[in-house]
Amino acid sequence: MNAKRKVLITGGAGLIGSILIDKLGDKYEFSSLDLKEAQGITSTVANLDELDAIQPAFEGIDTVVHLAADRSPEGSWESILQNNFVATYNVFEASKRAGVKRVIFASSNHAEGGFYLDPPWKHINEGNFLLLERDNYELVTERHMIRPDSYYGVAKAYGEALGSYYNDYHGINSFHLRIGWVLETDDPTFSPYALSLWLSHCDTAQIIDLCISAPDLHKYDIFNATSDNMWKIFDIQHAKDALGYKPEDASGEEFELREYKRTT
Amino acid sequence: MTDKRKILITGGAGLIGSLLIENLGDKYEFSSLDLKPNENVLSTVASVDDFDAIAPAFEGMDTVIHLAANPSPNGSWESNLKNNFIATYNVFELAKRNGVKRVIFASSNHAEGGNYLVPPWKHVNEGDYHLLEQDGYELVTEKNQIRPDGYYGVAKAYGEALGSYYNDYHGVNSFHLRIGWVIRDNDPTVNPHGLTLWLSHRDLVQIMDLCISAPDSYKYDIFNATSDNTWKIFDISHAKEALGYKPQDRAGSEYRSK
Repeated sequence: MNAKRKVLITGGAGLIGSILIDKLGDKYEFSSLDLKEAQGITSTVANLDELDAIQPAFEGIDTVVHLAADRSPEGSWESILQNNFVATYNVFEASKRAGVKRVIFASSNHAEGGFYLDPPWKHINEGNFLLLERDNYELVTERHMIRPDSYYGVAKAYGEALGSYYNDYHGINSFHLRIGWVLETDDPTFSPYALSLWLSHCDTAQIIDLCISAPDLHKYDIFNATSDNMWKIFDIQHAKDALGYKPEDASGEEFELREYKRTT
Repeated sequence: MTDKRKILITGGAGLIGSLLIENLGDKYEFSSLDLKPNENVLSTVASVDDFDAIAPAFEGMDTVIHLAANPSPNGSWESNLKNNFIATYNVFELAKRNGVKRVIFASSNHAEGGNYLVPPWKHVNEGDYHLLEQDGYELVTEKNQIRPDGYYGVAKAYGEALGSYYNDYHGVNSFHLRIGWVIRDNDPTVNPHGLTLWLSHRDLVQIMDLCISAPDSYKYDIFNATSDNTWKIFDISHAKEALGYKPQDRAGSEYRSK
């Protein structure tokens, strides 16, 4: 039998990392690189802004799933510079030095979040579904110009650009998932924004699995990644066509405004 | 008479800055921020990665032209981080804090330089014109996906993204010129790369002037910026249509060495 693929998850102790380890742990040999240990797998505890400290975690790895970041869309410039800009360079550079074949980068809808300022996407974001005709408005595709809503979003767009460079010039494949919103509760009914952006746990595991197992000749791509929600802002057709993504979940249009607070 | 528009040029002592000051110095009130002074205008001598040191230069400015950078397409990560990433944040943040209305960012063809690896642009870049039909191949537009060829190119793409954010959320307009190649002796026949990317001195001055004087209602855009060269990689029709750019120069097909 073939050895399992060795996959390093940066941010392996976080929400998405935990979902991957839970749902795909039998299929891949996961390890984690995070500020704290991920339960049940080999963990390197280090800060991603230190290239020398994290380099050993990349040795012998086939694929890196890069999730670690200051995950706040409101993060300050100083924090984003350190934890998102420098850290993402370190991940690509450490991958190059260790001969990693593919990096899967958790990009974000926030790379395009500026579009929420304008109709029709503004209406969806605000839950004014009555102003729209379903399936009869423009969706934001991966071909739209970059339009971030924050330093966080700028750093995500930067990660995609950096990945393109490492693919073309250093032979490291990369896939960039513009992730909508993965919720701890897996329940998006607390706001129209969540309804539109929801990427369910199950669909998160599926689309990342598809990125890990895509053929080597698929070298670089960017994918919008949400579940098959009723009121979309982002077109997910490209992931369906190019990766064979078949989302199993779909949010509806009923919501009851509540505060969403993470426990971790 | 109305007062002249006050314009700060970062990198005002460099080649492009000097060309702007020489050719547009009667029309605008320029000042310079650079590691060395431009003797012809009011100059602040400081490194753009030093936020506090450069802050005073932004006071009272209408427009900032951000040229200062490590200009090497092959610059190291460390140098780009400091001189291109952090410096460009400093420029936008200080523009915001000082009520500057517009930033014009010297982006670069290198944000799309990865395209030179593949035909038809590879052929253009290498001077293999016989493999192409003139006007019969696809050009790289501003809508193509970002494809940088170095940390420098990544930093230019980042500057465009940062500008979009500051426009949408902080009311600082910005135009981003993906500059081809401004050559010191203004002669593009050095090689096929020069022939395709050449932005002549007077076309540079023209397109910058158009960006400075575009109406306030025009908030954000990205433009490929070369002269009207025979063998293009980059489509310049967007600058022609949206800014009224009318390039006066055109490189041909003859070059000195391969």
